[in-house]
Amino acid sequence: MKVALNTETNKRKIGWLILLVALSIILMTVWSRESDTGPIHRVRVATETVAAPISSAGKWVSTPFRGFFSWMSDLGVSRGQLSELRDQNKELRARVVALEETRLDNKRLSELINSTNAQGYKGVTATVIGLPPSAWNQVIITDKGSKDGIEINMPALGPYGLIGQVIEVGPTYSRIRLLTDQKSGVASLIQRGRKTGITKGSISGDLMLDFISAESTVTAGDVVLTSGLGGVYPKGLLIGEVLEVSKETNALYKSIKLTPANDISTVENVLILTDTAPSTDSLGSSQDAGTD
Amino acid sequence: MNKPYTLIGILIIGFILQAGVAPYISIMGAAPNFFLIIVTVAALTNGSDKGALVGFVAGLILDLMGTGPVGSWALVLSVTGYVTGLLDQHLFAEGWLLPVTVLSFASLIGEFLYLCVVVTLGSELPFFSSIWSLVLPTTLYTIFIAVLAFPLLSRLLQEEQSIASFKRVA
Repeated sequence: MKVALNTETNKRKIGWLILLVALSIILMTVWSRESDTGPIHRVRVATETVAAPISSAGKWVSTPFRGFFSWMSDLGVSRGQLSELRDQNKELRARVVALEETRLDNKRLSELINSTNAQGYKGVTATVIGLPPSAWNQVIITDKGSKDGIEINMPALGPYGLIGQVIEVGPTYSRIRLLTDQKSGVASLIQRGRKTGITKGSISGDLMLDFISAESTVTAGDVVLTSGLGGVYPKGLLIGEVLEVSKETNALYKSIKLTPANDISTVENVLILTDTAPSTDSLGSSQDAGTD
Repeated sequence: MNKPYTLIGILIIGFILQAGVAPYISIMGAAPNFFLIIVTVAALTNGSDKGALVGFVAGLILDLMGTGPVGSWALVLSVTGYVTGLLDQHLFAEGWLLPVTVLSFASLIGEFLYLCVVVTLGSELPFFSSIWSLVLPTTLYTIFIAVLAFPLLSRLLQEEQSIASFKRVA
């Protein structure tokens, strides 16, 4: 009798699990088939609208602690590192002078050919109010949404260059997929040598430049910009610098690791470019980049 | 489950912690999964069927907070809650060993299953490197937080036993 009861209870428990699993699969199917304005997508927007102020409050509360930990970690800088940083500083100062010259040249040339570069675009300044809630997404949340004219696919810039692309918009918030996210892909150009490739994020958070031919000359420190191909990102936005270059035997392409122009952990404000929204034909940065 | 209001309260706190705390205590990109902790403890203290139900609700909230397919965390945490409840019935350990073993196993299963689900659904995540760079760090971090939170959470979620006789009280 007791055995029969146990079997009955076990059957009921398994039936319960099967029901929940079936419900989850139905949800996944509905979610993937419905449009961006479908009921599940709207519930997600509502959830994020509730979560955004909480995330913002968490950021405000944690700022002094993060500052303290950053200060503590800086205390551990050795004499060797300090000397290295001083050398780097000298080198960077020299480069700033050279870059200023180039910038003035560029300005004159831009005016001459009447081109529209990144500085000419209109944008909305947004404050970062949330970092990724889990390790599975490299996405940040900002305090500007559809009420401020933000739309899906708009590029976002940090203080030093491109930071990502808007992937979700609510009335008062927007989510930006960072360049370092593994789903991200940007048609890119190496400034010196003009070789084009695709900058992709990765699961480890590294930024990689793919599809650069093994015969190309690429060295650490080379500047990488958006190529403008595909129409998602305007041409000439700074992505980062080449950090490491390697090539495996018989490989067609070099393996190039980049340092992003912006340190995501310190970015507080972003500029979302509002007048370069791509057409719906070029949705999805990865797909777009892949066709370049 | 005879403490529904306590559970709802804990899920709301989980939501606040996941949205407002987890992003800012991440280490090398790994953030703890508070909902996974809640589901595991609920399953340990209430059994597999209730663990699965709490897992579904918690997973749905986590899905709505993230950018992945809605339903994927609900599926993963339902299964994790169910398996955790079964583990509790079939493991013979005493004191701290049982919760620590089950929490570790459940965290690993949860994160690993999620990777399997998103890869199956067409994500371009590199499977093996994701285990090393995402699943394991997140699991370790979640276990660490889970061990700290277990005594309080288990006390809050423990089912109140109805006393049938004086013999049981003794």
